Amino acid sequence: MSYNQVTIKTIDLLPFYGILQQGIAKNINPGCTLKQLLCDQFNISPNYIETRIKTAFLNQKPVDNYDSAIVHDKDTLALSGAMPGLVGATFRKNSILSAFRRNISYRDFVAKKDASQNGNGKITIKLFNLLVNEIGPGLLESGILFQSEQLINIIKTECSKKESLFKSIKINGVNQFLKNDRILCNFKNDEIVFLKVQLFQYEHFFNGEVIT
Amino acid sequence: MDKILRINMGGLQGPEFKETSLEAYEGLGGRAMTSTVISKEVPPVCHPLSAENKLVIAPGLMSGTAAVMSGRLSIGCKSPLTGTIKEANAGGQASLMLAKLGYAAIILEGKPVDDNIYKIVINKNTVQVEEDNSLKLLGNYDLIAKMKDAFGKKVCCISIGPAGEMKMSAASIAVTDKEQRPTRHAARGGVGAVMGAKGVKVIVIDDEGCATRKPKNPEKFQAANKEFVAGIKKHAVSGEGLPAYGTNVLTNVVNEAGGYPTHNFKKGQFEGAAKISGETQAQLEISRGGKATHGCHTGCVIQCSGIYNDKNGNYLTKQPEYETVWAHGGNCGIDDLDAIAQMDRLDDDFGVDTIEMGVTIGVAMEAGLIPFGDAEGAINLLKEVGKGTPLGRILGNGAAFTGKAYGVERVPVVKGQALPAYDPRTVQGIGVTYATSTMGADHTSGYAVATNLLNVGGSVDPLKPDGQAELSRNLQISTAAIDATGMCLFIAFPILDQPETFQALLDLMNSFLGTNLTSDDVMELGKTILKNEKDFNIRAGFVSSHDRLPGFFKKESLLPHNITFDVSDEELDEVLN
Repeated sequence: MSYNQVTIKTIDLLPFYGILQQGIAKNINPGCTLKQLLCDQFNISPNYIETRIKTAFLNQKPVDNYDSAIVHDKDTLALSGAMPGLVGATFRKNSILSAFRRNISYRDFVAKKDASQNGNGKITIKLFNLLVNEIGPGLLESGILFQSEQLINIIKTECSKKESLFKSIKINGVNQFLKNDRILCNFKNDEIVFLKVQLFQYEHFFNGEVIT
Repeated sequence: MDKILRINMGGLQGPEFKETSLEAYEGLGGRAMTSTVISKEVPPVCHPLSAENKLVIAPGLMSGTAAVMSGRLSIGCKSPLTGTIKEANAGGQASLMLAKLGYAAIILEGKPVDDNIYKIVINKNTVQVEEDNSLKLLGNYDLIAKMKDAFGKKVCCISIGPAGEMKMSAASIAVTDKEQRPTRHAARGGVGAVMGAKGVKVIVIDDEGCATRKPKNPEKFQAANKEFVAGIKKHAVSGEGLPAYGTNVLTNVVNEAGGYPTHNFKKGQFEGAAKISGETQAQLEISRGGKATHGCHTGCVIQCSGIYNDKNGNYLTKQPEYETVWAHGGNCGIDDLDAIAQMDRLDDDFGVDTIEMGVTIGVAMEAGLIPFGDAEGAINLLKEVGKGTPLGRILGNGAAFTGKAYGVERVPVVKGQALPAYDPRTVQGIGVTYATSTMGADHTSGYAVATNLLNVGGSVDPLKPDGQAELSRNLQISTAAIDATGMCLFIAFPILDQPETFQALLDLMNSFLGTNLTSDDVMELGKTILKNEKDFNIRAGFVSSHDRLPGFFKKESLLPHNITFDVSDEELDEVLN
């Protein structure tokens, strides 16, 4: 399926903080393990997964074993660093307190049901805690599927500011005038666009123009 | 700390005070001190507002030293809210200053014969107890401004707001922070009402001329402190997550797990969670010139607190904690951080427990007083509490009282105290702690302090139901021990994961105290504290049937997991046996 492509260069991911927490949609090849998804499809290093992704939920269930949990089409995956508090510690992978949440823990026997699924699929990913800043840029840069209505609101809010964080917006490769109120108005409200967000390096910006 | 200051507010000629040696209370600090004194000296069946109750204010064993994270203050009494023994804990500057002045405890006894209120001023040379009715019904902020004018910028204050003076069961005791703001509260259980019943509005503490307490072995102490700091800073929770986002970083995760009590514990997820998350809050604070990283007491290296400014960049309140954001936020269907911060400010000013007030407002919404999600309505209800109107007096006495007044069945309390921000159906183990804690529903009484070195959790099968009772018991024991030291409970995370950091803590304590404590000794201390508390509660008339969650948790399934609380009564009865 093809989508209209929107590319935003921004000097800060702040306008996207909310959506990274609420969930962004990514195309994936489902039927793999969680570890495989993170390493092979999202290019996250095994060391980072081991040391920084201390909490993961698959469809609201805390996951203890990333090597056996299977990710399916339409799943929701939430990732976090280590969390404070008794309850925060309870949700961590392989926590010694995992007994406290035994009723909701992810169980591998659920995953084996249709592990043979393959092909194209989509999942929703949510990032919490320090991972918003650590993994968020990479996920946004590689591209996400996004509702145009929500994107229009973000762009309008940001571009109406005196000093916008957005330095350029391209639609299907064509530069847009940032103060244009009718930006993206050609898209239908319920249309899905393919959005890439790139963190912009300030030293590459000169005289109001992007130097690539 | 070699003396106890006893102040009898009911002396025939007015308040009288004396300083005594520690005697039977030698070697005790923090919660060990408060629980031991209360269990020995307070008749368990007395009325909590009577002259027979006592308010014990105790720094921890390590407070006033150069040890990092050692600034927590314990305040204990028989609770007006629950009728059980109570220890409420606060940060701020008071613990370290009292400890430097040499006080292991201040004990307020008796009750004034008239309705005057008093100010107590303590410095290196004197103790003064003075009548000062000009302070009556002042909010904590105005009160502290007056104390600052009178005594200078370096004093610390322990105070009550109008809620405490009106002896409301949700009343807290405020402790000023490093900026001399009344933002740190010994909040739970109505300890502020007991201080109000004693007629004490404020205790002003001036430690000028007092030295930091010296360790028995300075070299080992310094080395252990350094190791301890290193361990705290290298841990992802205490060294990164908490400084960046504060405790409210929990909102997204607890919500994702389906354990975020929403609309008075009707649902487990709140659609507005991301709008009030710690991540969102931190960004907002920074953008308004506030701070997302701030310590509540001198010597704190975790710095989980912050400064919340309003839209115009002016100070409004300290960074609201996870429990506050939940109680006034998701529990009430409110997703507006500014409204929640405004309520946090009012809670601090009136001197009430944010958890109790948030759950109370949730019950009020359940009763139909205002709809869920009505932020302005919630703020107005809080203002009723501060004014002491008939409605305000109902609300200010907590969720159980409000539920009774309005005929609400679904009231999330245990032993009369409101449940905190984790649904026990999702995290059943926390439900075990809520039900069995000696203090009523309490999320900090069974904390993740324990490690395999303390033999906690290592032998528990995560799939077996009975593992939760054992875990909860051991966690409550270890938490009680830490509460005796004056250490902030957030040292739990590096201790849990890093054995060398736990050893550094033991070395820190041993080199300061001149002891050879082991982890077994720490557990024994915790057990003793819990035994004293349990014994008091039994003598106060509490039986096993009080160690239960409200019935709706067993009957109503919670989405998204469709689960009920299924830990048996028999298992609950085993926890503190």
